[in-house]
Amino acid sequence: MKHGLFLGERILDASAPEFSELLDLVGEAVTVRDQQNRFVYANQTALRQLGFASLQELRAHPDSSLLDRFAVYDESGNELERSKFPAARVAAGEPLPGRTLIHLVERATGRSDWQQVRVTPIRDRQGRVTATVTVAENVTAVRTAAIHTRVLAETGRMLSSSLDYRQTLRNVAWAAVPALADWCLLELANQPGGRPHAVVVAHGNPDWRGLANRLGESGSQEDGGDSASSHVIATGRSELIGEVSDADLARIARGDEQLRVLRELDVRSAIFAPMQIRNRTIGAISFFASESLRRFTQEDLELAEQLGRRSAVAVENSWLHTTLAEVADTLAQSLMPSPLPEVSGWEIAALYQPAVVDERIELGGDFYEVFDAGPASLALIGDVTGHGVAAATMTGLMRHGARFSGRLEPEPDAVLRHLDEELRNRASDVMCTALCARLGERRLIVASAGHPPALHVAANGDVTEAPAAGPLLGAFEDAEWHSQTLPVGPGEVVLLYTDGVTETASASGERYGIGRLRRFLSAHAGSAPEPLLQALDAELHQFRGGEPSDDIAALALAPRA
Amino acid sequence: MQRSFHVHVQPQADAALLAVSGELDIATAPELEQALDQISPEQTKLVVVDLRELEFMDSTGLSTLVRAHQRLSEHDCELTLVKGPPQVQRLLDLTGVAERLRVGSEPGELLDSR
Repeated sequence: MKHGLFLGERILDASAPEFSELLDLVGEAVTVRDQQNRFVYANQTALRQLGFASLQELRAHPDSSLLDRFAVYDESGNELERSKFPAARVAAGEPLPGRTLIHLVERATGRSDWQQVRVTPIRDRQGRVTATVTVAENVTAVRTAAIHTRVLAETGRMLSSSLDYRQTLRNVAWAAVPALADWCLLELANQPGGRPHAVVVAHGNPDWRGLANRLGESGSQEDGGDSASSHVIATGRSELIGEVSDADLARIARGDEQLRVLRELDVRSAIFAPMQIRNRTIGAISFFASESLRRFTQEDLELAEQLGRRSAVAVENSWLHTTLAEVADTLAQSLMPSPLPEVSGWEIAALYQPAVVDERIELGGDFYEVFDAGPASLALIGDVTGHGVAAATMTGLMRHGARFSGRLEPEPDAVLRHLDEELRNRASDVMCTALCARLGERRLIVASAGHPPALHVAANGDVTEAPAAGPLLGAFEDAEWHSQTLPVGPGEVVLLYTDGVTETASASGERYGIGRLRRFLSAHAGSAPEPLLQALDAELHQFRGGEPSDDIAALALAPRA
Repeated sequence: MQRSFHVHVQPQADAALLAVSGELDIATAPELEQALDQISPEQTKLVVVDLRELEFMDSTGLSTLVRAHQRLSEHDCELTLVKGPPQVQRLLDLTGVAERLRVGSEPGELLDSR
């Protein structure tokens, strides 16, 4: 039989000029293989792909070495044995789905092609497969664009999902591996332009992860020499090494240990891209191709640069967030109420609940302070309007101002007057309500500046309010405050509180309110300060059904029996 | 928990009537502050803030009113209030604001007094 094929009943002469000319015009690669899976025909496109000038040259080539030149992967990146190649499966009589997507990588050059393959069997009269016709459409461009789009879409979502920059970078790495690179190293500079340290190493093959991690660790430890990524960080310019030589490896590596690891990881192709924000390079992303044999292209480089910019924004955001959160936490610690002192003749308990917003403590304007002011002890509770750092720092001013003025003049109305002056002298917009009490023998001397009155709870459960309030602090020039005496007997308790208590809102938006508070106190008459405030805390927690959205402060005072 | 707040501004000849409704608190006070800031004290002699439709006011809401009063009074422009519900009135009484600002029971009463 000459070089021809059974095509059902007909014999089609593959070397007939009109037939091959026709097939040479199509863009798809068309090949015909015999029963032994040897090439008997290839059109011009297929010849070009296989690297032959003519059909004669292809036929003269030993077939096994021809197929060895390529690594073939399925759509998910699993390497296919030769018996699993689409044409081989059809030749073996297996039914094949209409179209199969395969990824071909030429081992020598790393040239990578995605092909959509359709294989048709040709059978003899007995129905045996005598040949297969493979039509392969090159879909590399479409496929690459699809992968790039997917990686960018995934990282876009991931970058905004976490404020922990390590997690963010891990997400970036795993969006790129294995679709874009076999493995990936993300490094951050300790200072702008400084030596990088590895933050994330992601390797698609679990067997190699240990080794890849060693690369990150060794890079952080070794001080000797420069590396490709530190060069990128220093210059802000990306680098593509399509084909990595051993000389390149020596340049990429930071020190001998890294070089050893890079050799062992069999790096074939590499990309180094800066993580850049506003012309500042804060780190580098490195992509490596090893076992997949792929070679990175200019398009991959552009994608890596884009990922670098996006990651830099995410990292900087999380840094800013972390820094701010640390400042706020430190400040919050310093603005937390001082411990309660021992006051002779009195049992005192305090409740302080900062607002919790988005699982973070939010600085608020509520405060209290109990302090020894020479001949007497004073208690102060108050609420600076507003939230945040401005309000919180003002609570510090109020607390320390009260301590200072309390020593000069340990009378509640005088303390309020001094605090009012202090606030108005600052020419700030801040106003404050406050209630000050002097703890005497079986009595309190109280003065209020626009603050919710103290609630006196008698042993029989009667609740009364005192004192009549003067104007709030920092608001009016002609303000005056007057002290009032409130007798407190054994078995009685006085509650000082901020409006955070009565303004506690339930899930449906209902406020706890003064009515409920009075009923609660009445029901807890005779209770000692500590258990009373514990019960109040539990009551408010239950009412709101979660963490407070506004801060709360309360003091309970009872004379010792 | 969805809270609502609205400011409705009604300019008069040399006065401004601001009707507020809903919850005036730390979250919504900036809205009122903005509306009050737009009032020019040179051209306005009287500002009436109608609190009747207010459901709730906290200390930040209150301080917004007091600050506006301070700013406007420097230019001889008076800030007055139409009495709100008990919780709001209690806060005004408690903080001494009710004593220092004119409080009426309806806007006409305050506007007619010019």
